[in-house]
Amino acid sequence: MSRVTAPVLGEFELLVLLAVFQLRDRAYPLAIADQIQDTTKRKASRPAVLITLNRLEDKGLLTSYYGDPTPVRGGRSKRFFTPKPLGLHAVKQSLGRIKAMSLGIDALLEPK
Amino acid sequence: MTLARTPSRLAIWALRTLMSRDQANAVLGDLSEDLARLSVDQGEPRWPHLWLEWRTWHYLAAAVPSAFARFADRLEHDVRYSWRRLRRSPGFTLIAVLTLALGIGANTALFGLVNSLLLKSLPVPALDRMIAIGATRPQSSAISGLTDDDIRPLEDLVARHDTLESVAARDLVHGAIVASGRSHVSVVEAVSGGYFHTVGVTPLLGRLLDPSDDRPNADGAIVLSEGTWRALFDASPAVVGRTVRMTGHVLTVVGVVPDSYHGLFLPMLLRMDAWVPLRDADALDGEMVVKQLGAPSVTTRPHGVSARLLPGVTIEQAAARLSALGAHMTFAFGRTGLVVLPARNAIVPEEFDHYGRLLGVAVVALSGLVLLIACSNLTNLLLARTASRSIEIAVRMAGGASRARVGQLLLVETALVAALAGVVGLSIAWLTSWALTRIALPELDGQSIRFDPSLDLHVFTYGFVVAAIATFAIGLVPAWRASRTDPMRVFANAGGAGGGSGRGGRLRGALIAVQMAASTVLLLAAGLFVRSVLAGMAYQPGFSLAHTAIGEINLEYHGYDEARGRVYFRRLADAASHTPGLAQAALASDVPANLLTSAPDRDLLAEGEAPVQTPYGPGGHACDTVIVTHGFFSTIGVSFRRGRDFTPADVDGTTPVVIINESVAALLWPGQDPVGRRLTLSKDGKLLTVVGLVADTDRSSPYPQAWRYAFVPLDQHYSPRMSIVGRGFGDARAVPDLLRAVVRGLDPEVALYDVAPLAQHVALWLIPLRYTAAILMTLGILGGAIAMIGIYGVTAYLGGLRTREFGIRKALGATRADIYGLVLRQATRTLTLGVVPGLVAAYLASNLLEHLLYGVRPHDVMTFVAVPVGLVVVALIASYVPARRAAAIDPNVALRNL
Repeated sequence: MSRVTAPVLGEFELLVLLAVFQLRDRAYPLAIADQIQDTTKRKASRPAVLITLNRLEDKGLLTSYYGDPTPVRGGRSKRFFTPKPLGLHAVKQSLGRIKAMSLGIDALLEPK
Repeated sequence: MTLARTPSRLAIWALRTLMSRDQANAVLGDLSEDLARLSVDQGEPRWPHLWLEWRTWHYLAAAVPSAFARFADRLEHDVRYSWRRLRRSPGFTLIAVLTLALGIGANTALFGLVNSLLLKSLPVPALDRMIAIGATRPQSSAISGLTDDDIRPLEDLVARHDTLESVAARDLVHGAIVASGRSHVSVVEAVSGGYFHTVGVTPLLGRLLDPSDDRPNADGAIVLSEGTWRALFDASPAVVGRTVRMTGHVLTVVGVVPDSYHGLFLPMLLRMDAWVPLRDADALDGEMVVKQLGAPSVTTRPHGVSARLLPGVTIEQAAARLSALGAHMTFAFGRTGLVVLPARNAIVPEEFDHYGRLLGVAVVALSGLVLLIACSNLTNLLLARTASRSIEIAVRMAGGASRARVGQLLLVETALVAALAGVVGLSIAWLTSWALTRIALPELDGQSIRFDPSLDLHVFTYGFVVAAIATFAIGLVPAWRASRTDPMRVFANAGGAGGGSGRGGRLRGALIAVQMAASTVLLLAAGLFVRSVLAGMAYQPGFSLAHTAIGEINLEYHGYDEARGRVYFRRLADAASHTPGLAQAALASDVPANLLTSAPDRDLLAEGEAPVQTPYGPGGHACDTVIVTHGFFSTIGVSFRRGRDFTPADVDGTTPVVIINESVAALLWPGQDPVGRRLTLSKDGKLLTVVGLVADTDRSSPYPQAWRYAFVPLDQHYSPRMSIVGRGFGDARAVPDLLRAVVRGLDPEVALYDVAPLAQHVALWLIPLRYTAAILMTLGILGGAIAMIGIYGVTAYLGGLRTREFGIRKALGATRADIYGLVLRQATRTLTLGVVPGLVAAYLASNLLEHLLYGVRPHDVMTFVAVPVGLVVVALIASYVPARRAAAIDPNVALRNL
């Protein structure tokens, strides 16, 4: 079987993908933005999250489906995102690179 | 309650444009939920609508770049897909591209023609600050040129920086320029030193002629046009300083003028080949200049004069200044004052402008019809093709493709066809314009007209716009119809076909009707022009062309006063009629044989008739007065209807007499005998008694048509400028030499010019007619052919769709004749629906063509019957072939696929 090369992820893309993994079947744009914001204390703009999700879907890392309409959303559906195998692969690859590059870095970052 | 809040319609529309409907709904849901949560956590925002709107546009701003990228991706995909499809059906592609290319090509080429004749700014750089200056004649609207003596006061103005910055005189010289063993037959402008400063041209190489070249001891200089430079010197940059020979004189090339400048003589039709100093004109041209203007010397004959105004001086100020100046000048040749015209009006004759505009409107309108036919033809083809793609489109829509997506796909295919057609069409236009420049036009004043309908940026822009409009006109209907496809219905009907009824059938029928209507108009116009050309071939101007030639004499230039002139003309008429080889000869002040005749006088009134309104105030009817000698009518073959010819007894002091033609009689005394009645032809109201009535003859400008002529005897009137008309026994080409010999025998110094057989002069009249007819006929045939192809294609397609129906009909007992009848009846109904409105439109529009037609009325019954009948017959034949195929259907085969 040929080795699948996953696309290299940007930092925000990685955060969004990780949030999708963490939220499992509750991963829709608002929840993903909140998840990133709550966990990293970094501001995640909702449009930026949506555009990133679309891009990841175009790259074949995610897929989306529509849930049932809810009254709180004015009778509109949520668009849920789930990772595809290629997404899993990309996340693994990105985290692996970060881990590899972080080896022994703690000692260097400690204040002397 | 916040849940009902939504952003503005505009924001929602933008959102749905940039993303799919579901995605946009999800975003709107996110926004609603966000607002609800915010309201719970922090209380509702002060302006919730504004909050929502702001957030929505935030989404939109973020979505634009990715939407654009997605659109580009899809576009590329669609282009590739459409290209593959087009390659898979080369027959369709070829017909579609060629049909549209012919439409675009015809439009662009003919727009190029109109552009070069009417729209292109005249190739004179300083035109807005240029004026033409001429001399007026009493009781005549004609403006004549200025002699060297007249120009001198103008040059003084230039020297004093008063009103004029520069002044230029010019003349025409014909001859061959010879260099490097090559000879270039040329028309050359002989110009004064101020010419190039006046027109504002900069040289391509070397220098231009300037006042230093006007000095009598200056070396002979010549400035070549870029074309001549290329033809004679292969565009060698070392041309300056080389010599050329013209009429035996050696001239030094001092510079080259770029091709963008054509000179000042009808620059939209003619290009000058070179420029020489005016003082050299006679030496370089000799007899040819005399042919042009009938003057013995360049220093005494009048020239065309242009001038450049000083900055800040208006034409009105210049006119006032020069008219005051002219009042103190003395003029030779009976001219009285100076007159100023905007340069453009002097360069483009008014009649040319008017005729050109008429032709331009007709050509653009008719080529628009060709495009309309091509577009509706192609729309029909595409509709048929879309119908055959219904399953593919249904599958796409069932798979989630939006209507816009399907529409886009089809529009891309049309755009691809239009792009290919645009390239082919512009090539056709380019080829056509190239061919037009190669058509040998008849000679005008010894110079072939070199027409230059080159395609400039305007023409290409026009072609592009036409192609773009065509794309949307053609593509939108099939794209819209495809986007309305209901997948469920298509799948339910799979295997069958819709047939020619219903909305699609009606639309296709309507398109065929449009094609038929447009073809009817086009072919009727073409038919009228064919009739026009036929009438032109059998053209008789009202006088006999056989064995006859004319030449012109102007005694003003030879120092004759009226008394000597009368004696000279009497002797000339006498000598000519006794010349062996000439059957008859006579003199006339104006034989209606010049292409650009001046405006007629407007002083004709019957005795006691009140003045009529003319464009120039109260006056008389328009009529040309011609001074003739005894025997003129029999020489030229004009027959008498009543009364008598002039006799030697009609001299000064006896009753003033006049002979009129039928047009004058019909105007002044309709249905009555005019002989013995009296009329006036001049502002002084002098009454002339009608002694004879002759048959009508034509006036040439702009189209030959019967015209009002009044003839008066030379013995009672005088003009120093007369034509001699001679009729020989055999070939008319022998007559000019006989006429020259007669003139030379009487006074060797008097020049006879413009000598040619009468038929040759008259042939010039029909140039506009012939070319207009050729263009419009081609358009008609082109449009008709495209329409026939379309009708055949659609009828064949519709017949194909009804295979199953015909099968069932035949199985139930229908005969072949029934099927024929069915198909032909349907075709006839559609065709009639097109031809009738076409006839009405053509009837209304043909009034516009009236002034472009010759010898045929715009509502010519024969054309209006023959063309529609012919069109319907051809269209029925086009429908017959598919009908035969339908009738031959084997019911077993047709029903097997049920």
